[in-house]
Amino acid sequence: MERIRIEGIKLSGELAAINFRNLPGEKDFISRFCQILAENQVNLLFLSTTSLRKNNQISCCVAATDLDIVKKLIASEPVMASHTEFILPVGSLSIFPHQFSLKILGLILNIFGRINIPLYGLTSSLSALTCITDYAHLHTAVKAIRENIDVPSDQISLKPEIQVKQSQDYKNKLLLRKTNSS
Amino acid sequence: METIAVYWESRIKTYGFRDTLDLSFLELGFQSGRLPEWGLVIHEMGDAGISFELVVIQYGGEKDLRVYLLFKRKWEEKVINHIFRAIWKDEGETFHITSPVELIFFFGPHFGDRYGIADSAFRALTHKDITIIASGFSGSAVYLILPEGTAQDATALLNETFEIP
Repeated sequence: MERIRIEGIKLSGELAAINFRNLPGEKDFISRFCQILAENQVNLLFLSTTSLRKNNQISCCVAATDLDIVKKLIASEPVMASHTEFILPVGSLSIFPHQFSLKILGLILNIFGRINIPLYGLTSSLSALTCITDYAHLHTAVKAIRENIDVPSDQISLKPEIQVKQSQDYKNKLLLRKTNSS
Repeated sequence: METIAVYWESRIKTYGFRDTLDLSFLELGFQSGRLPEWGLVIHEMGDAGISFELVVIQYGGEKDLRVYLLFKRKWEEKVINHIFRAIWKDEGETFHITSPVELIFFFGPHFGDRYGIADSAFRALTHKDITIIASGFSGSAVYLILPEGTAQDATALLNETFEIP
């Protein structure tokens, strides 16, 4: 197998993975789940959904700090709650660029399989393949990838450099300030 | 140092929508222990010149890993041949192809860091009974896989919800 080169790897902080398996297809649970999270200002850092043959699957991650509220929200939806699995702590490992290459994807899957660390989810974006695994295994995964794929050493971000969070409180303060000044 | 970014939009801004038609959507199910072998099969597909439009993997436990690949329909026969050579049907491995399907892709500023993006996308389409076969939200990108003949209507609906400045 030829040696492949990628430009970088980025790791996330601690996340919680939430999987819904075999949700019945007659009701739109996927929309409902996204709705209750949005209403409570919870961001989905990673999400994939499939609805095939009347069977819905959701795989997503939220910040570990949002887990308690997400658990409460899911508990309030009994059908959803009965199909839920929480996995934590997990983290994401993003490899870029993927170049839409099945060779890169295949190699990454082969590496995860060979080192026998769980793959709880994966989704491609415009340039990155984002893999979800146990937070404790992220560095093992990076080491194994570097043994098999060329990655410039200065392009491995082992900790998130900035954290962005949309805050309704701050937005409300701005709105109040604007109202008072007008 | 703390950087505060505030998104205060009556309509969420996006950089525009791109649709791709005439695609095939493969669902492959196997046990996690077979990941090394299936990784090699997928690598071989890449050697054969096949590329992907979107990939999603979902975990249903050790015994149920699902790989979903979206690719150009012209490669469907090649993909099926690769799968047939590798699949262990007697061990419960499964594959299914949905074809043709259509894809809408869009992205926007800090989509991955903001709540409500997925809700807005799903709400726009499901309220008008457009089926979303699969979706992927990662980073700032949103991918929606739709049944044949629905991408145009879906784009029009998304245009009402999202704003292209």
